[in-house]
Amino acid sequence: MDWHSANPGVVPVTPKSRLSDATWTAFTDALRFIVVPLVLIDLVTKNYPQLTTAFMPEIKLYIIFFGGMITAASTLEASNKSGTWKRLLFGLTALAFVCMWLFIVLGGGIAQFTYGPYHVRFDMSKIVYIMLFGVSLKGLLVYSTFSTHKHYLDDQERRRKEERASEWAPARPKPLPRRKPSGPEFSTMSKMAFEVSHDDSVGYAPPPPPPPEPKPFQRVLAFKECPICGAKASPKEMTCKHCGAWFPKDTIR
Amino acid sequence: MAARIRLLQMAIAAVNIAIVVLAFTSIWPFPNGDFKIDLPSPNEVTWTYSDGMVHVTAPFSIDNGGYYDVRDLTIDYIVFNSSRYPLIDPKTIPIGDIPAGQITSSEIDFQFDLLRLFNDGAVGMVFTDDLLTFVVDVSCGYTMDLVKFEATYQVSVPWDALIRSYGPDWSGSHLPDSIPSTNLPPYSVAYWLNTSDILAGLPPAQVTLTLIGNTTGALMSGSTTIQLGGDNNGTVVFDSSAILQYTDVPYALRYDLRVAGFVWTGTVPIQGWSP
Repeated sequence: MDWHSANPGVVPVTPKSRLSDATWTAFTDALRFIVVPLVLIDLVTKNYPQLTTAFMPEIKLYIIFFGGMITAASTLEASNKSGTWKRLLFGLTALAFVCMWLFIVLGGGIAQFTYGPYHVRFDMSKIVYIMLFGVSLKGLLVYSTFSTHKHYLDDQERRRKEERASEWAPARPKPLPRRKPSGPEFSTMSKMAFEVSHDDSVGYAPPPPPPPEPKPFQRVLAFKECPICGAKASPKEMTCKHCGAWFPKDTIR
Repeated sequence: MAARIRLLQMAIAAVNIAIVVLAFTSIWPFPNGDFKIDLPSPNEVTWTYSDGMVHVTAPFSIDNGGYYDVRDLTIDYIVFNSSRYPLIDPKTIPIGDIPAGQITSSEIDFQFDLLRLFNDGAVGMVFTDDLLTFVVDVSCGYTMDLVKFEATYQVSVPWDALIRSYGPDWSGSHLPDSIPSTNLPPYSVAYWLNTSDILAGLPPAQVTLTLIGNTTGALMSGSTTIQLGGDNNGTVVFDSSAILQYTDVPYALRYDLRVAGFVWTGTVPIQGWSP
């Protein structure tokens, strides 16, 4: 079972789609964490100047800084391949900056509202901490995605290494065919003619007579040619009717 | 693997949705007015005066129309006059818990010793109108104490002077004008006193007047009582008026007033007299 069949729905991202992902992430995160919050903060500070938080005097600067860091980290995260340590690092960094950004935007959970003789102080810092915990849970998702893709990448890497190793390995000599244990070679023998005669006296039994070989089928020609004039004649003829020459004895049937 | 990631995503989304709901339901009742504190309006404040003590009662109510119980609601208050002089030491009303959807009513109840203030020289609230400021601090926990709410309210309540005005009414008086006087005795001085309604029902004011002569000092004196609460007057008739007709001509009137425990004195020239 390969990785794709084991992970249905998880599509490996190509470099081109990673680039478009990174661009899209940069755009959406800049909108989500910089542009829209700045507009909202502007509206709030203009309509409710009595509302103050600990970060309110410099909140636009903080939003630009932390929003920029989130955008940068998320873009770098998206531009890296899933399952790489860089992607994990940038993903977790972006998450940390999101937590800081949220803490700043929510004023650390303490808001004060002064209107005429009224002064209201609202301390929801515990809820802010719970919200930060909820946001940081996304770290599990980042890590889980990392580990899943890392497994896939490790498989790919191992396969690639194996292939590369097989490409770069020196050509192996062809194994020699195994020699059959046999008697002395003919090459080592004397080329002088000699006769070998069987000697029954030394215990050799004469080999059994070979089975009679079946006679090969010999096509019987219906005529024969005169060796002198080349005329055709019947196999029974003893002399050529054309030139009168005698046919060889073995050609006569 | 993909199923595991998807499950994790759903779990995180569920937790985050729960957190958002918790945050929203914790915060929303406050700006929306579901949780509100009805402080006393000036016409709801009641004042009573007795033996130099001013007793103030001001009702208020707290409406917990939110989603969670209010915990450990405490109200602290202090009262200042317009010159930021604290009329009382800071006081605390522990209300306790208020279940969701319930309204709790209570009242600010305090008293201050105006006579002591008067004797210490702080006579302003006795003779002039003032503006008392109730500074009310409300603190409580909400959403299982995850949210701390603190608010400070100020309610200004007008204070009417106890003794608004007083003095002789020369047009209703009868005094010698020369030696021997052409005005025949008995001589008298009419006196009026305008006091706050909260003094009504108390024992009447004691007014003692003394005629001061041009050369001989105090000539004679007399006293009367004047009812408290609103605009009242009385007339002091002097004894031995016949003697006064031949001895001296009064040029000043000294008054000694005792009103609801407040005692003070002063001298005013007699109108129309020129030595």
